[in-house]
Amino acid sequence: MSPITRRRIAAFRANRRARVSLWLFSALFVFSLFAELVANDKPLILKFEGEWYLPLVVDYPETEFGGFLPTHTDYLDPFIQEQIEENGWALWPLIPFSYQTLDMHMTRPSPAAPDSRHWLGTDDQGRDVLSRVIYGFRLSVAFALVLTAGSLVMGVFIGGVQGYFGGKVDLVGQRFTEIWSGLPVLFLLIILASFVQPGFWWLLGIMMLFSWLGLVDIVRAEFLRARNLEYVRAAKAMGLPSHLIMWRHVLPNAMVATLTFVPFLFTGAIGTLTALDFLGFGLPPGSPSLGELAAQGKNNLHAPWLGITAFMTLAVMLSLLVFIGEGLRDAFDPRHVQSRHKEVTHG
Amino acid sequence: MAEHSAQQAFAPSSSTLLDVKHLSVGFDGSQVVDNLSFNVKAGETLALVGESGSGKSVSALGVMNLLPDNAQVSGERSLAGTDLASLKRSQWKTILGNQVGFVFQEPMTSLNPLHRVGKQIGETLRLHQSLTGKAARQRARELLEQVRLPRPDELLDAWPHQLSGGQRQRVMIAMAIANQPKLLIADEPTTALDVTVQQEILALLRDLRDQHSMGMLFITHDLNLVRAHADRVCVMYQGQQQESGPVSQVFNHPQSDYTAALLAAEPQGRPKPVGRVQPRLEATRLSVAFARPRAGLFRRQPAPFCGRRAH
Repeated sequence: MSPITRRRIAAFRANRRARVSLWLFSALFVFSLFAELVANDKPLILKFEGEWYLPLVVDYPETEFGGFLPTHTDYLDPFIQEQIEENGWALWPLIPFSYQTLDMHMTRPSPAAPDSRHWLGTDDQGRDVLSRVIYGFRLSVAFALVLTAGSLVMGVFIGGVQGYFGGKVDLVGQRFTEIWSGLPVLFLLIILASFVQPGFWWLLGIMMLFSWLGLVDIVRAEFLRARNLEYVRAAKAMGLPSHLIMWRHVLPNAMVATLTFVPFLFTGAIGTLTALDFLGFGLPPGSPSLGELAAQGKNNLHAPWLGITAFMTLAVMLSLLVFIGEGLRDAFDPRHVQSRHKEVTHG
Repeated sequence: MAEHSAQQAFAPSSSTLLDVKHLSVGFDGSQVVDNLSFNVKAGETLALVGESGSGKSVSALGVMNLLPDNAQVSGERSLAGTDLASLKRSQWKTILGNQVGFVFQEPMTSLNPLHRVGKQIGETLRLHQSLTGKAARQRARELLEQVRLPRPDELLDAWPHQLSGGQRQRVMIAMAIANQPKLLIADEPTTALDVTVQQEILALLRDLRDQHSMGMLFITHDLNLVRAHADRVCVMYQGQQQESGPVSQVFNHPQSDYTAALLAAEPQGRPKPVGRVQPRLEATRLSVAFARPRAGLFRRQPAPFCGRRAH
């Protein structure tokens, strides 16, 4: 690892708020990766009449547990639960509801306020809010991760080619970028949503078409600067082909400015996905989505737990990401690093 | 001029390494170099001399196809019998870095700050000789020894910022000669270095030239260096060739007015010592302090200025 990288890591670690945010966010994300084990409407392990069952992996018909019809087992059915209790035992997840489980056996009307059965209450269709938040968090972060990675590749490639070759390539590229960025993304998405039922990958693809635009300017500027540096000219005189010069000599220098931008791209992606879901043009109905939860909060003002949960989840998630982004930006800022460095050598 | 062409005609063509005839370079219609002819023989140094903006570097880059796309280069140019003007893009790769090595003016910025020295030398070895891993490292070490750098093993793993200007220029020279080129183009290789280092670098270049019997194209504006280190000289002014010939002939009997003026413009004598005068600016016990912001709910304590920790 180069000393510059090590110094940057040290600068990031010295920033307590960013460090704590990174730990918290990573912990939350890893936790949400195991959402199926935390919030599910099937027991993790089941012992029935001396036999072991794994309902999470295998789909058992109800007749296995003393039911009358060979349908999928509804483990929340009081009759089945009684059978299981009499003839064995079941280990349930912490939250016995998945994100799309409709709680049919509730005594109160939906949306129901938080109680011991539903810790954050239910939404207006009788689904557990906490479970939906966990799954929704995972979906949002996964979406933003893929989108950020994709736009990073596209933005760096397009900006790099424009900046490195300059001239006509740059001119045509810049004009195209300007026209392209003039397209209203939200309206386009709404129009497209009326043609196709956008799923996860559809939305990702459409948003990928536009999210790289922000990166192009930064990468292009860095490449424009670097193409005239002495060592790039020296590499050219050495006969190194263009793609290797760009990859080995120009890109590492452009990465600083680019990486600084990435956390904000990430928060932007989460924000856009939430906005689309809120408007009803995002993920298909039934998907665990924070925007849909916020929309339910708006439609059910008498059930404040919906709106408050959606708000708190988004606020915490986006704040953590912004703090991490700030820490990264400071760590990559050469002036900031230098002052830290002085402190180390003389202190 | 007549003398020059006569000399060219008598020169045995087998030893002529780089032959450039009637070279012209223009950018978007404006002519920068006009009708320049010179040649470099194996084992000798040709100096291309002229003031800033006279087209020395542009000529060298133009010959080697290193100018941007909007440059128009015309004229005959051949390297060791290969016609350079008709080369395709892919064929240039076997010439650049392989048969022709470059040393540039700015050693401080000619090395990529993000790669170790060994890796940067290894890059050219890998490209032209397909040397990788241990073999490349061994060869890079030999090259560092050839350019007389101390502690080559340590320097292979050093970062460019850990090297002085002279050391970096030696690394650049090591990279330039890595593939045993026939021709070395040194574009003001010592301008950014101080005088004692200048002499060492130029002596090194001359020794390497003799060892590998390379031809050297030495671009400079410093007439003293030309007198001491070049065999022949070609003087340029505003893109035009003024004069060319052996160093002693050009320096002792300049044919063109510009060369004569250039030689006469060399500073002579020493500056007068400054006598006893009152100082214009004095500072004693100077210190500078700023009020620092204190840490709060939304603000971190900034790092101290001088490295002294706040107690």
